[in-house]
Amino acid sequence: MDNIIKTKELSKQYNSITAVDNLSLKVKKGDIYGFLGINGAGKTTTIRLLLGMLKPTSGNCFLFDKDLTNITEKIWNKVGYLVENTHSYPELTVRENLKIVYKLRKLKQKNAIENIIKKLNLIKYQDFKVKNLSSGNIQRLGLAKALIHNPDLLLLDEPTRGLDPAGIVEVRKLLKDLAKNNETTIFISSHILSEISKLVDKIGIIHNGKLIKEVNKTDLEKYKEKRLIINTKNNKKAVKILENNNLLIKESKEGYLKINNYNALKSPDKIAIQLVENNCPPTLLKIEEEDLESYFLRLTGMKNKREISYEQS
Amino acid sequence: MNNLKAGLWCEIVKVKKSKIFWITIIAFSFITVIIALMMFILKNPELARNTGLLGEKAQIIGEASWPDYFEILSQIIAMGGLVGYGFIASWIFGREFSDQTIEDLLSLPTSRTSIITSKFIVMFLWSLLLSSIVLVIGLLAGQVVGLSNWSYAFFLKGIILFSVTSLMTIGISTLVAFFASFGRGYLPPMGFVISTLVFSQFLAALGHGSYIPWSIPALYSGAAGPSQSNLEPISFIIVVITALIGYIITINWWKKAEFS
Repeated sequence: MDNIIKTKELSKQYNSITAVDNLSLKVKKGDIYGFLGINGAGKTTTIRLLLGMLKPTSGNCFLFDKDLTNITEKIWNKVGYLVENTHSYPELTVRENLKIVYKLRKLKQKNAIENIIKKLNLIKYQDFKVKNLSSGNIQRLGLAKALIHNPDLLLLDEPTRGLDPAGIVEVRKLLKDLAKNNETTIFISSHILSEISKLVDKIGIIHNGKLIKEVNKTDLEKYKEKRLIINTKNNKKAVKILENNNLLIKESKEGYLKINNYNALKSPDKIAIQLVENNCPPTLLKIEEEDLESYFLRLTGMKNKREISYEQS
Repeated sequence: MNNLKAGLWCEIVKVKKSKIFWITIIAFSFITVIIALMMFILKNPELARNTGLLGEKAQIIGEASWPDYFEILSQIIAMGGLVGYGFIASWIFGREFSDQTIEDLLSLPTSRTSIITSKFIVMFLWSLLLSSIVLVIGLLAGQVVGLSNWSYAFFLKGIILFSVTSLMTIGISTLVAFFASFGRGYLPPMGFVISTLVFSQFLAALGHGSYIPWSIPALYSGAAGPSQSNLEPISFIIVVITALIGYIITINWWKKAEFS
């Protein structure tokens, strides 16, 4: 069993709206797969389809090589999940909420509740009613419910929502540890690329329900755009000099010159020499690399709409 | 069976820890005490005259006797229960949507059928508890008031009348559970309960009450007079079929519904 998750031409349509469009993806055992997309891209719908909460309009979902249309409830004990905003019974305590999950998951390990309370740092709050908890601790409880049975597969929809920076680091560490030591497969959705990139092995970018790009974390660098940024005391003259060398020059909003020619990026020193030899020495010469957010926005075609460009950042 | 045990445990904890549970107990106890108070006033006409309006309303009820008292208690269950038990069904099923805890019940090794059956069992037990509270407090209050015409035969008849009315009223509440699920919250089922109240009154007034599930318990309890309380077996069959339909369509809805 290579693939813990597999979707085959999966689609979900609501009247005229296509929430998930022909989505085919595979997640291997022990992998952390980051599912990235803006709000409304189809992330949550995909997770709900994987959890059997929604039925596909067409296509198939497979978990542990089993088609979801043909499974028994037993399979869900291998799966832990957290969908969108997590909620728990407000008038019950943290411990009581966990006991409900413990019972419904028919768990036998007597210390499962204690262990997960410790793991998620909820000891102090275990006897608090959920209605009195902060949003961060409600999120921790949601994660505790997803992890209480040590699942082989975790489906997490924006799991760090509501957590403070320390909590985000803690959860990231916990998930990394689960993947590394327990070989837990983790499918995690987010709209924050910088957060996901620190955690995952592979990123799938979904936009308008379509999987538009799948990239391994190690390959991510290759896809990011690089540009040479130049400034001189006389940029008009510099443009002429550089254009004489068949370089395409653009101007940034700040008035700097931008070149994305491969050779120029490979040898910026040669550009500097040309400018100096023509009596127009650079006052600024640097290679600027597109950040992850810009890369994501460029891929999804959102960059211009949101008027975000990496040269501004 | 283990599935059902797990589901029952969870549903009982949820109910026990809720304020609504205690509020319904207080409300049903309070109503019973009020009925007993009216009986007390009926038994003491002098006091009834002195109490003015309350005394006049108490006169409508009839005699301060055990048979009348059982009839009134049964009528309270038939009409108040329609709202009260309907509210319980709305809460048990609708709260999962209102509190947005529904997702925690869906992709589990415990089947949806077991979870929903557990909810129905708890709904039945909770409603039965409320009926029992009305009966026990009613009996105690009746003793305190010192109602007339006590006999074992009347007592047995009264208990049967009360129990059958309760069971029928609880039974027809299963459809409320469906509306709470289908409507995903509290409001649609409560709207349904109010509609059934109006609808049943209207059709009962036209003389078709014995075929309307929501009118049958009230007719049986004698709310429309003794002439209409002797129902044909078809009325009881209609109630049983309604209860089963409510259960079956709720289970089916949960199995097939999409949770987006």
